[in-house]
Amino acid sequence: MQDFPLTGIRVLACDFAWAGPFNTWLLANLGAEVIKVEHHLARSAGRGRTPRARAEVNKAEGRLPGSAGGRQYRPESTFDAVTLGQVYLDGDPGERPWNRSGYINQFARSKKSVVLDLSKPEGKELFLKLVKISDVVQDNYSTRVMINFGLDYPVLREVNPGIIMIRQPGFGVTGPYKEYVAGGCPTEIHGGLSFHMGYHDGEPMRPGTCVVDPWAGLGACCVVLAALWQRRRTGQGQFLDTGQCECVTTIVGDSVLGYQMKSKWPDRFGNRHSSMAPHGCYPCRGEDKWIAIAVACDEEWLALSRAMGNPAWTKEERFSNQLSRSQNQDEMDRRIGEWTAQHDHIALMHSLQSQGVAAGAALDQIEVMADPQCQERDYYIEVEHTETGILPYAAPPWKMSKVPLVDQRAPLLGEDNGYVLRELLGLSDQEIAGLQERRIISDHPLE
Amino acid sequence: MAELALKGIKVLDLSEGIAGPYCTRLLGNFGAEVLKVERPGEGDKSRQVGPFPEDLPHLERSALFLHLNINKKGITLNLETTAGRKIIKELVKGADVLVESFKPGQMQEWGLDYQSLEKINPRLVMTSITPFGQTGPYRDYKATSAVLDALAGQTLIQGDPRREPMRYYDGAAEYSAGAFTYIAAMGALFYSGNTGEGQYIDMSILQCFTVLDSHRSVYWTHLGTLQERTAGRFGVWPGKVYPCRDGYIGIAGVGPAGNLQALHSVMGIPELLDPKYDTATKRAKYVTELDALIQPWLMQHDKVEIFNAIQKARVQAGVCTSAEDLLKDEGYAARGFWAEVDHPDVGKLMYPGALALMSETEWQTSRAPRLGEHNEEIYLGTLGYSPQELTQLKQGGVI
Repeated sequence: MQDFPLTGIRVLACDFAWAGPFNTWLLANLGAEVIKVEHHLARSAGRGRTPRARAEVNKAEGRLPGSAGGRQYRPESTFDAVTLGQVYLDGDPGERPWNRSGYINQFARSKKSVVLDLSKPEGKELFLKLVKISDVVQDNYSTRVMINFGLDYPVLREVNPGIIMIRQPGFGVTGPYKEYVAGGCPTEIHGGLSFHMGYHDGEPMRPGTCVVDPWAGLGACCVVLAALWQRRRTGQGQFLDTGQCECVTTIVGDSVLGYQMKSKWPDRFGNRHSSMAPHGCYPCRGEDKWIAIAVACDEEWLALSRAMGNPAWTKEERFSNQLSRSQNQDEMDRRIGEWTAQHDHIALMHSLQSQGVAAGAALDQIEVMADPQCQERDYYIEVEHTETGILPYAAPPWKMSKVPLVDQRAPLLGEDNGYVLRELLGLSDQEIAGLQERRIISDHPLE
Repeated sequence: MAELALKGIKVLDLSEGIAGPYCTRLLGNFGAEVLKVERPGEGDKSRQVGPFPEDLPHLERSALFLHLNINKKGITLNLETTAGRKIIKELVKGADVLVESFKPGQMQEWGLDYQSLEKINPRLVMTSITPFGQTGPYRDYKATSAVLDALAGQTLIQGDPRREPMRYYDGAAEYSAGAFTYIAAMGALFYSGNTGEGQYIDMSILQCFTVLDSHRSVYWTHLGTLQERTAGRFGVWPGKVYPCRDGYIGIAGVGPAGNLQALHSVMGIPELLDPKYDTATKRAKYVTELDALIQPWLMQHDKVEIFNAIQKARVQAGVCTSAEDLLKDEGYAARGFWAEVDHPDVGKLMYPGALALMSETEWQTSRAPRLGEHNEEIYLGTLGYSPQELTQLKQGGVI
């Protein structure tokens, strides 16, 4: 029975935070069996670790910054420095926070979970047995982590020459920055995205979220799929070394080529555009409501003018063509803004679109999820989770005529220890009990 | 021995702009043979988008077009003509993947929808990629990259809370869709490799870009909170881009107090160790004050020097790289990131390279085609037309 593209492909996910889990989430949604090999301290970020009672103490002591992510920082190790925070349902870590984090319940969907202490020889040995029967190992820890465990690519290849290992530290596994530690913030900056973002009249300004992670996850998935395809033909595994920062550089490729071409384009267009005018983000009625309007040609300008009721100023010579409009943008934007400010952002979008003008309301997340286009195409699907109930989760954005969406919930921490050890590795119940006793495996974080 | 991962895969690319061409660029980078079909005369609309050398528009010199269309052969073909559509059907016979980006319903109008093409080639993976997808109430709405940023919820969270929100990098939404489409098309190739059956894939750029940032939905569904505009600061202090002596430097938020010690060890600013800053919560209250403490030191030092010094103290940082900085960067250079590609109309340029260093896979980078450059090779060679027929097709406005 061949239901999914990657049925029969097994992926070991030694990943945390966002980039690695995003890649393995995509692979899981294409039908691969993704086994998340979780850190025995449940620090494989995204998993919460501090139960409710302790969290309250931390908060009282000012240790929780109280940002949206409920970030917790621990100074001891590399893991901690790049650890993303946890987002619990209703902000409550509950008794088993490691099963209540939104990050993990989003990105571990359709994956299995096994907890292995890789720092102990027995844990490492079990991991290598899994490598033997797997196809891909994803690692996005910083460069030295898997090496310190003695689980570098040459070790894995010896066990299974067909294994495809992808590693994804911030600046890559090789090169002068290989030891540098970097999560999303510095890598998107170093990758060239931030320099070109920012207002047209301002300095570089980072994007509003840790954007490099999903870009790196996307890039990793692209590379892994190519390597898997090659392996169908050759049987040969390989080592893939991805620098997260490099994954965003392609997006600014036009600017990189433009610089070499001695183009005089500004460093940042902000809400403006190289050829379109008007092109901006205009205020609407209500608090912090905005609409993006983009006019690509004179015909669309006439349509926008009509929509505004053809005020006299739109007929002035200085607004008559794309070039003159772009040279008089401050004045034009001010006047358009006076008009848009009288309208509801969403109603105005529909009205402008019906008159042939490209417009999009700047939606907040509530509006995104209530948007009819989003609902019609299932950007999010509802999934029931044992500890957090039914919630909407992002679904992969493809509509494939023969591949259904996977609606499996995220695993509880260590939920699949039994499946992995008993069914995949053929261990007896007694052996499994022994591993539990010796704290090699667990279904809760080991201190 | 490194080889081309997708050797033997044939891609028929009817798409234009960014999303479709980025998808097929990736397929080509990994070794697929991509045949790009363009409108006679003007070609892909991205040929008219800058930047250009010396900012002089020219169909063969668009940075955007050249960047997105490496590794492709190019022919011209007018799909408005019956003869043109017949030729597409011939090309579909030998194709594994077809990518198109026409407005929804257009392929059907031409008799080139999946139901028709599937009959010609049951293994065909056909991919449509449009701003809103083939379904839903916005299907026929007009879109630009900025419109998609706004609807994806990206615009409202970027920029300064005291002024209008700021959009994402122009075209980023389309790039994300290109990568997602490549992934779906590869999935469909695995599927057809296993079953012998092709399929139809309907991609929406808006959907791709919305789902790309799934943290926002987690904040809302779990905490009931919305992300706010933070003027480029992410998480705890410093977490932003600062001006420095010769440009800009990004320093990530520092968590534990130990990292302040590390910053002090680099910058020599003892005030950073004041107990009033010793937790992230406390520091959040003194952001402006803390910025003022480090800014003078940053203005006395250069970006690369700061980057290396801070990283060596184990605090995360990155140079806020311009194109010039990227091309000079030691890390990119040492990893062989840039691919030098020669093109008759723009000369040798360094193109952004592989998504990964791959031990067994060759990353292909051959230049983008001139408009209709491979007409003779494809029409005379692959399709077996005679020179007379080719002339007739040209005169009939077909190619």
